Amino acid sequence: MNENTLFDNLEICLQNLAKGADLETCLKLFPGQVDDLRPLLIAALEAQNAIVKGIPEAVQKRGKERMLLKAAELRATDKAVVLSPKNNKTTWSKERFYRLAVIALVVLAFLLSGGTGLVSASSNTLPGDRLYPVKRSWEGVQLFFVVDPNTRTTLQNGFEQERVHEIEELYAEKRFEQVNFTGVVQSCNLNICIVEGLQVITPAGKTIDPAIVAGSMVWILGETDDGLVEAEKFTLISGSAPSTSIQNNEVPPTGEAKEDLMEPTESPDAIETPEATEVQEKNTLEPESTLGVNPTPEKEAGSPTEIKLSEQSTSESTQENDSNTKTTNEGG
Amino acid sequence: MPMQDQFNLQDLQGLDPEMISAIYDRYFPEVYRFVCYRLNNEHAAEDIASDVFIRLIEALHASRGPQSNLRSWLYATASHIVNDHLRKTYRQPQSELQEMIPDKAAALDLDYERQDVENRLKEAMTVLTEDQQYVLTLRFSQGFSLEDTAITMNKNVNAVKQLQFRALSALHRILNDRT
Repeated sequence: MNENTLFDNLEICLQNLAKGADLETCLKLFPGQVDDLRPLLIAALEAQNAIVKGIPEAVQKRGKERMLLKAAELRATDKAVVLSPKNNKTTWSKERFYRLAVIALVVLAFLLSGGTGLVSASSNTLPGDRLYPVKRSWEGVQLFFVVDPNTRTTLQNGFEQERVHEIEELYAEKRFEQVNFTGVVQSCNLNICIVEGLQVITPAGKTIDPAIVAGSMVWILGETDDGLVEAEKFTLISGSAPSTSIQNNEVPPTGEAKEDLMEPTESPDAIETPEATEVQEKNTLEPESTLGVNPTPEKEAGSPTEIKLSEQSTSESTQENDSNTKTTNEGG
Repeated sequence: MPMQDQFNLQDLQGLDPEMISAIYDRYFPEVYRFVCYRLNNEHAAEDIASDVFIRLIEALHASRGPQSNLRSWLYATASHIVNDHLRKTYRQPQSELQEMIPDKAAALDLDYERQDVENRLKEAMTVLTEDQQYVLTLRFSQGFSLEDTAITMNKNVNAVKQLQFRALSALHRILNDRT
């Protein structure tokens, strides 16, 4: 059966019913669809029976009063706006402009005061504090905008000093926090170095790279631990001639697993042979293999090229000193 | 029943008391009948019908009232409010559902049989979809033609034909199941 025809025939029957025709008369028009149409028309007749006849007058009156009251309220608010002397199109647009300008100024003032407030609030923070990253970022921003190399160096030195003070304050507060700083090595002995007056130790079983000697510029990532810094990464930025304290290092006999951050413990023979020294130096010269981390951006002097050059110049003297050590050992 | 409004919708924004009174007098009975047909609660029907006109003047005042067909706007608004009311009622605890159950006391004053049929129908109507209720109300309570129903529901005539076919089928099935 065509459904469209059924829909149309139902509509015809409904119209006839609405005009007062009875059910059977309507159905006779479509004898083939009586079974389909009959239930629908019965339902339609029931639906017509529920028509609401009259509306109580009080209901209509109450609704009207309510609506007129609301309309009066709305008109009153309009009138208040109309009575305002500024209410014409020109002043409205001017007012809008001024309002936007004031909002923009307020937002700008808020951002500026909020920004500087944040920076000043972060100035006394220590590593591990929530605002500490703001402090470091602000330092980066300051360095970015300084063009004069002398001023830049002064600023960098100031920031390095600030790192040292921060660590000292962490010691005073007995806090264990991750720190990173750059500084000049004052002395080094096996697994302890003094950098900018701070004691830096390597984890157990690891020694400091022999290339790191007194006078070397290093970058250290570590954790404060009861008056000293336990280094996780000890990166050479720029080195100087090796001192005797390094060459006289006593290397522990145990061969620990090789770690790329710190120089692994080696047998004395390995140090004595020039080939081994070369290999060792090669490892030291390549920042990625030896150190695993690039130097901090604060120190541009420690670019890989510069490291290579300075290390090459020191390698000869290292060999020389190695032979001296050998001689001393033989003599002893 | 004519679908054309004799009111200039642009003039209504001023909320002139005479004009809005004329609109109210013209359309309130229709809207009230429409709402009453779908609800079994006269108090709720009164509130909802009244709310429709409050919403109209608020919309006119905010310049977002009906753009072309005031009557369709009123029916659509009434239908939305009724649907919201029914949804809220379904979610209420059992005590609140009393308004969905036919008022037996009221039936004593009227022809009991007729009242019973009416109550059965309204109960059955609540089971239909919102569109099915809308089409049956417009066609059988308001006496709208197929074309007027299509305009008011913002559908085409064929869609309304199909919708009323399915609505009547469902209604018949529900009424039979309950007897």
